[in-house]
Amino acid sequence: MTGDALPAPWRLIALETVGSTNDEAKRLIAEGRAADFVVVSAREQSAGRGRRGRAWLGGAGNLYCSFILAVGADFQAAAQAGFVAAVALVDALRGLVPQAAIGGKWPNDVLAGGAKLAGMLLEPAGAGWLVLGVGVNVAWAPPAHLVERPATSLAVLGYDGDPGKVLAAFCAAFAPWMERWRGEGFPPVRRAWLDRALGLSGPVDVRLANETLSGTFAGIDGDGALILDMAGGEVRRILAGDVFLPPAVFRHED
Amino acid sequence: MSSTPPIQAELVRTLAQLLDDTNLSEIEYDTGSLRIRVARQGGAIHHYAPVAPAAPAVPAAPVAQPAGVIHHEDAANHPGAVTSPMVGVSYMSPEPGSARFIDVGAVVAEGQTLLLIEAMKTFNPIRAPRGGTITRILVTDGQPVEFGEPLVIIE
Repeated sequence: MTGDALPAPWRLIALETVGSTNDEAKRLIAEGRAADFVVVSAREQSAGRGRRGRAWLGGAGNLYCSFILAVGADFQAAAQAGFVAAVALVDALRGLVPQAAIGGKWPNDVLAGGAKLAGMLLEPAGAGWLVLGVGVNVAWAPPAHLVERPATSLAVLGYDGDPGKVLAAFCAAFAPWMERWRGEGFPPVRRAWLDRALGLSGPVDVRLANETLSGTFAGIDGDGALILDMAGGEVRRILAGDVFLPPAVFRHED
Repeated sequence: MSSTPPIQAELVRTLAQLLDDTNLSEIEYDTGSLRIRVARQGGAIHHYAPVAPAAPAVPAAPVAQPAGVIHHEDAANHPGAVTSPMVGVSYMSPEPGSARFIDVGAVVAEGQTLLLIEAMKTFNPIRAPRGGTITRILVTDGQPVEFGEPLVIIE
């Protein structure tokens, strides 16, 4: 990672190779060295993770970073932070590759042309801290045979900058959204995320731990839960699951 | 393996039919060793697991909890109940296929992780507020949980 300074209020701890930046951030918290707006980044991750134990490949060239944020004791608020970050990341990446069709997929993935460009994993830790891990495919994307769904990278989309510049752009967009969320609560974040959401009002499949549901993606509620309108008038509130958008969503987006 | 009886599907069906026939909102059936309550809540019919006996002296294999079992109302008021601080989905292991954080009979230390609750890709470790023995686990893997819902009883 190059030495691009981060704009205030962020403080960067740039590391070489780590297991995962989330684990490094949690270690700082456990050691009493955490502070609001500390960012831990790494050039490489040897044990990056996605949702429910999925591996996140960590070779050099992509962005691996974790944000330490003070969220207080409200567990529900911690989950909202993922939407705050997703809004900022969509805006930052659109700024880097304006020609690409970039949007958000519930709850906090970022896709370009239907392929995954960035993902997040959030882990509350210690008393009142949230570790918000973000991975962005900058120089490369995992090959198709290693991932369940297609992935892409900023390089494929025409961007030639390095992970440090992507992190700086993200931080510049993230800070004002954090301030707004802390000042005004979730409503403006929710509206902004819906403005950037892919597949809204369209058909969607949601894979839960024990079943897969199909319905219409009607929006998100005041906690960020996905509202799924199902056949027969049943409405389900989804708090955790994998969302599958039909390919048609991406054909219409530009 | 465990002494947990299989779900008495026929009995539940009979009680549910009785519920419809009588237009009651709730029926409880108690044989001493088995207790089933069927209740009407927004059209849904719930069944309850029988009250677990005291923790086995020798913890054996994980106690299989029938899918769809929801907590016993008394559990929320149990002094050893650990309740959910959030709405979300519960997971009993760090990742699919890995060892469970706890089983019934396990002795846990204060601060030990009991389970995870996910909401919007935020994975909250639920920690033991005190040390003790796990006498009941009231949620299953992948189950939606509500704020304040009892998750585990530590005695």
